Amino acid sequence: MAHLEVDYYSQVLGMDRTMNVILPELSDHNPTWTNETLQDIPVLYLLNGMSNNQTTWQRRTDIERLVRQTPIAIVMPSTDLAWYTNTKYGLNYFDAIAQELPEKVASFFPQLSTKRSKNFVVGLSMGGYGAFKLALATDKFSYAASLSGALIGDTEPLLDLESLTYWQGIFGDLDQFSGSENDILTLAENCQNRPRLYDWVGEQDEFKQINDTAVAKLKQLSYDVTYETAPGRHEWYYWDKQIERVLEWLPIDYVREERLS
Amino acid sequence: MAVSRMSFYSEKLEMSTSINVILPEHPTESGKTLLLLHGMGEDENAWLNQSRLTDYASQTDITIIMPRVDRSYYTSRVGESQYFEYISEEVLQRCRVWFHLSNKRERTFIAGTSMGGFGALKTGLTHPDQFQGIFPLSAMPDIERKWRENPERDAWYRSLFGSPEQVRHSINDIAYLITQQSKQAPFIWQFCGDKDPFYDMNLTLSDQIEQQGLQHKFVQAAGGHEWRLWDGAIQQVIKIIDEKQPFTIR
Repeated sequence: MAHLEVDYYSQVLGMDRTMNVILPELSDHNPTWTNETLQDIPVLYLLNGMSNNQTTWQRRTDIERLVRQTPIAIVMPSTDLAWYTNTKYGLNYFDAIAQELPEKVASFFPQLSTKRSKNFVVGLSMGGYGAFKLALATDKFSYAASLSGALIGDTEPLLDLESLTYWQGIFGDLDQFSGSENDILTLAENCQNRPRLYDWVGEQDEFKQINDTAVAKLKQLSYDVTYETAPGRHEWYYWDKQIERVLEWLPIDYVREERLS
Repeated sequence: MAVSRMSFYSEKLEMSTSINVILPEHPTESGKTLLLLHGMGEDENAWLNQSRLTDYASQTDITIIMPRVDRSYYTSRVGESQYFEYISEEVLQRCRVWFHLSNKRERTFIAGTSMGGFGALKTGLTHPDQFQGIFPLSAMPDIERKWRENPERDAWYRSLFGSPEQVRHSINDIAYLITQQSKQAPFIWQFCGDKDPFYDMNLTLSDQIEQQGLQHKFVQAAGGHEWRLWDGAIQQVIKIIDEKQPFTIR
């Protein structure tokens, strides 16, 4: 795979940002690929959690090796601690990641598909919230997956993570959160062109309860949501396994590597 | 404008390598492409680190591709990494798939400093149908002479070029390549400092290009073989390619 670190300027945020990108490449591993077949390639946006950045997925998981024989591009943006939100402190991270980033990606990389049917978004923890939010609030993504996602309906669990000041800076008055543009369950109610959803959370994860609640609500709304749980905590060991499960779930020709043992 | 640092597997080099690419804000097939080569002892980061290139390139539609060739002299050795084919074929072929680039000769240029000036001349004059212009900056254009002047390089140069006799009338003989050019050859915008150890070689090169009647300009500056001069030179190169500064011949 070709690996790129792209420093670009975000007009929306008014600052330089970095995205890491994995592109399929011609090599002995894929003798049947040609430049002609590597067109209109599906794109997977891979969103990080809190305390991570655009490099963490590649450092903590096998993602690059897993997609080695699959024609798919992976885009990993830098998102800071902004919860994929147009924050009250004035930086519009949602617009930057949901709107501007795909425009930049299409502008820079002619091989990548701009079709909704071939654009997917996946994230962990804060990025799981971000993945569902991007897919439900825009019409750009046909599949979205959340791993150990902070699929918050009410905001009480947030105060265990950070201070009230922090959350007010991002979402504003927490009493107004429910029913707002940041409430993914409200977004789910209002979403016209529904994405297919996949959700995984570890049974020992503190977010287990909020995932149970969120998925129950999504099912109540008749969403096509695949919900899986297994023993596990909020750790990369599980996300490394789960990212392959997501690749199998996505509507791509995922080619699993040979494993003799 | 964006700066992309890229690593990938090269079929010609048979190993992973790195390329830095400066992309315009809105890259299109109607933009320009500059293949920008580094000198001896440098790598794909030299131009980004040693000059203000990123600033000069902003607000233009030029995509600038900066590969690395290690200490290869842009030369292929039998049974080893094919650096010349990598630079003269694979880099542009691959980048034209990955990015929005023109495949038109009139929008494609090559430049380089020192050993990279040699690489730019060698590549551009071997593939004159591919490049509109060549910008040798303080180039080292004469392998045979360098070989004579630096006998301590004998073993190294032998491993690269075989023998001085094998250089003569080969693609490593810039003077010979010039004699092979027609009037349709790329223009050559040549730059050198007057205190540069290669200054004399550049005077000779200038005469050879003039004698062949190619489109040519020799720009001199006060100074030696140094990034201070190349920072100014690349600013002019960008302006010429961007057509903000008209290119006048003679």
